[in-house]
Amino acid sequence: MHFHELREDVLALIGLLVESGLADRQRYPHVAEETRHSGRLGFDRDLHAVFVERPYAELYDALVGDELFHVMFPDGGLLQFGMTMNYGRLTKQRLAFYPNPWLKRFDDMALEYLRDEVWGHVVSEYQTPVACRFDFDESDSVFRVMDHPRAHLTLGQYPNCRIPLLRPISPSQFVDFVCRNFYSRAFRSLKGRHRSGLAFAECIHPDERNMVHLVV
Amino acid sequence: MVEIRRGRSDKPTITSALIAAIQTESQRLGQSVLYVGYPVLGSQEGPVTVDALLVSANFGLTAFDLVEGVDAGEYQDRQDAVHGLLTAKLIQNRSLNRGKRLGAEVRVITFGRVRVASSDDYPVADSPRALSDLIATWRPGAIDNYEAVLSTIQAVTSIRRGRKKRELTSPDSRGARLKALEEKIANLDSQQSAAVIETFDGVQRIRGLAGSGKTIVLALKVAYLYSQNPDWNIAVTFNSRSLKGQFQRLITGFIYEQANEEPDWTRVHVLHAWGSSGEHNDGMYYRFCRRSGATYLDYSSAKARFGQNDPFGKACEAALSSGRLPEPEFDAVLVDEAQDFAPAFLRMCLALTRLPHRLVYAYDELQNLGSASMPPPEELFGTDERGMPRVSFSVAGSGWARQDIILRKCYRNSKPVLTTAHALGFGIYRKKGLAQIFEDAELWGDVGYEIAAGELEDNKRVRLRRTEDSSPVFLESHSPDTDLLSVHSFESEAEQTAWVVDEIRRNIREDELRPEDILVINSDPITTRTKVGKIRSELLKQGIDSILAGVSHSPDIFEYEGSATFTGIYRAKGNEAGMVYVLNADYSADHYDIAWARNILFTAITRSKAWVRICGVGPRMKLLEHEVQATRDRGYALDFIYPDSERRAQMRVVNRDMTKEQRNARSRSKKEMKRILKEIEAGRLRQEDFSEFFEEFDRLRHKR
Repeated sequence: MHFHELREDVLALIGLLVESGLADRQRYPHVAEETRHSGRLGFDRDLHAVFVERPYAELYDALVGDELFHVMFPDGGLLQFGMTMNYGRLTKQRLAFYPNPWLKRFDDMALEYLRDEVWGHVVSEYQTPVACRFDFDESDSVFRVMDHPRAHLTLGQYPNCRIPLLRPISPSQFVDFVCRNFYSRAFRSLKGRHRSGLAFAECIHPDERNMVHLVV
Repeated sequence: MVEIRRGRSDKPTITSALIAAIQTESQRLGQSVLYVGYPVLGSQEGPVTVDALLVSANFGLTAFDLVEGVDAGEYQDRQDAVHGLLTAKLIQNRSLNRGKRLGAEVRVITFGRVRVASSDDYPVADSPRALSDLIATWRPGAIDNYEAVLSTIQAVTSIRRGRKKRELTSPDSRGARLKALEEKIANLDSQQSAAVIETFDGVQRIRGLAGSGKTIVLALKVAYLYSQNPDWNIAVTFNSRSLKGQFQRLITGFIYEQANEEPDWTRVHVLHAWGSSGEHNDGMYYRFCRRSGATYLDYSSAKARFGQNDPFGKACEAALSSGRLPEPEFDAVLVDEAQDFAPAFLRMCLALTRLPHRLVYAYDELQNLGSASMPPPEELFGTDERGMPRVSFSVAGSGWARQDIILRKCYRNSKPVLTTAHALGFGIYRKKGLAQIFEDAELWGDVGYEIAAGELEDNKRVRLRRTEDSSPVFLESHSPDTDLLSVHSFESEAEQTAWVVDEIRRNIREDELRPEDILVINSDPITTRTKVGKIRSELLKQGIDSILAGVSHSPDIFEYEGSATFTGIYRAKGNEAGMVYVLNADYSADHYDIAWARNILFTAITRSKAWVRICGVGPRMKLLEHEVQATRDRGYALDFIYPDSERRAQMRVVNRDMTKEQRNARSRSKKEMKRILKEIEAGRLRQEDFSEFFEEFDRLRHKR
């Protein structure tokens, strides 16, 4: 696999969301150390400083304030792409979705969002945001069978939530997952316009197949 | 000629005496302004109010230290302090300096029935006669740059603070021209000045066209009242969320300039009209409910209870009529964009003010061209138990603070752009005839038009054009008029997309405009997201960022640095930009609801500080091209036969206020009728098939 295929896949997805009217704001992914078969795609700084122990709303505000997102949905939900490639192989990945705790969920008032209702922000009951993060790390240093699968999904920022995945999720599948489940009222406009992009090798451990796991 | 600007003063008797005395010297003084209770200067000990300041083009600056009683006290110290502060302030404006010295004479005079002797170093006038004698000793030629002095006194230099400097290489690029424009608008005109300084202990109204500077005037007024009255609690409220950041920034700058300190946000509150819980979201209505115990409704609940039509207005009414009144908490409330609110909201704001109920409401006159924007105060605030109007405007005597101020000068749109916008909005040159007109002919003058020919009478021909005063020439002199506003028709949306993308690319790569100078507005409010997607993604491929203004748009950010803004028409109201693209204007060219559609076009065009590109698809664009050309051909004048009252009544009915559903229902019915007529014309249906309906129709028509 060439690094530029990865880069172009992500850019195409962002472009698709913009064109479909689902990306109110977008930021170009930062690309570093790019060669034919290697490279990093994501942000130009480390995220650890942002993800300290803090209330979710504060975290969300910090992400927006520092522009640590690649796509912002109409209801303020954020998408982050982070991928590292070495020698033609995906070695690390972090694809995340952070909903906006301050506004109603898109699916709860899709029409108002799509038609840009001027009072749409006047909300007194706030949603319970469920952040979703798809991680992958091929290195043995973090891997622990069943406790820390190579590819896993973390829900709601729970520190030890690591649901095993069959393989690292592709960017296309990730965007499809978020839109289909959290922006279903707008999903129709995206259907059929996804390129089925990259696919990665299976990495699940046999023991992990016996637990609840996700097939991607 | 002395203009009087009367601010807050706690020395009413001696102040009136001073004003009278100065007015008798009006001839001798020539062009000058007398500020009372203004300016407020920042010192190390906090804000210091100058009792009165006379700025004369011929005789320089004279500050007055007023004494209400007979005890002059430490008048020499006071004179020194004011002299020092004034000089310090003026000397910061480099255009006022002659080398290291100040190029303007500054005097201080103590005025009052005091018993101290006057001296050259510490002049004292103990009577109007003594003051006249002193004035007689003044030598003319005391100010180098009158305008610069006024600008510094008005403390408007901080308006541009915080904006990034433009990087320009070419002296004549669009970027350079925009920069020159932005720098020109530095001084308050006399109307704006009055609006800022004149404080009325009651309800005050400030109205003007969009772009007449109301937001800045309100922010300055907040800063002035805050500095003058350290014990006051002040609130400013508005409709467009994007104003929050603007007000915060402006107020911070102005308060800093006057009081030399950061604002104490427990004394001045920038509040969205609605509000909700959550610390970012405080609002007037939310506060009212909290304080009175009335039930608070958020947007969804209000819609559920009252329907789509003005849920906010109805929520305010419900809160007001709940019978519980809150403990008033503000000494002054300033309302921007008042035309967007139901009267109930203004009454609610009034209820939150302490005696003497200082409420300042500012609004865009003629936001909708078919009617005056707001009812008169008697209607707005209703009557009390005796049947007397709660608020009524009386004509102010000269020297007194005015209750009703009109800002006639439009600082945003040039004459060609604004006149064309009006021509299109009213449909002056529309083939099918006038689309709408307002009832009160006097309003033309209020919004800056004069009669160039003919008469403003029913059924008579009249030619109206903007006065040079109301549309400053510098707004249009930077570019040829055909460049200020142009119409572009395309055969397809793809063509429109390609052209707009290419133009924006050129604006940024060649014209030295920044992305944030560009505003793209889609005409049909419902289809914005889908219509602008392609343009935005193409721009992205060219490395040009953009944002789509929506519900998640942050209120703290007025413009997103590095991004062009795409918006639908409703959210566009809070915005302005140097270069405006109006997309799919064919929507407004011909529409079942023509007044409404033309209002959209009017609003979109008037967002522009410099250039407008009206774009659209299909043959209907020819209608707009024709109307724009007609306006141009008449030298940017509105030339038409004034409709009589019957025709006006008819238009009013046709263009009446309707809910979205009613509007849609009417559109659908009209569409259907049109289809039927077409079928009859084509012979596929026969008019005899419908004769019973036509008869019924005729009967209804003549029933009137």
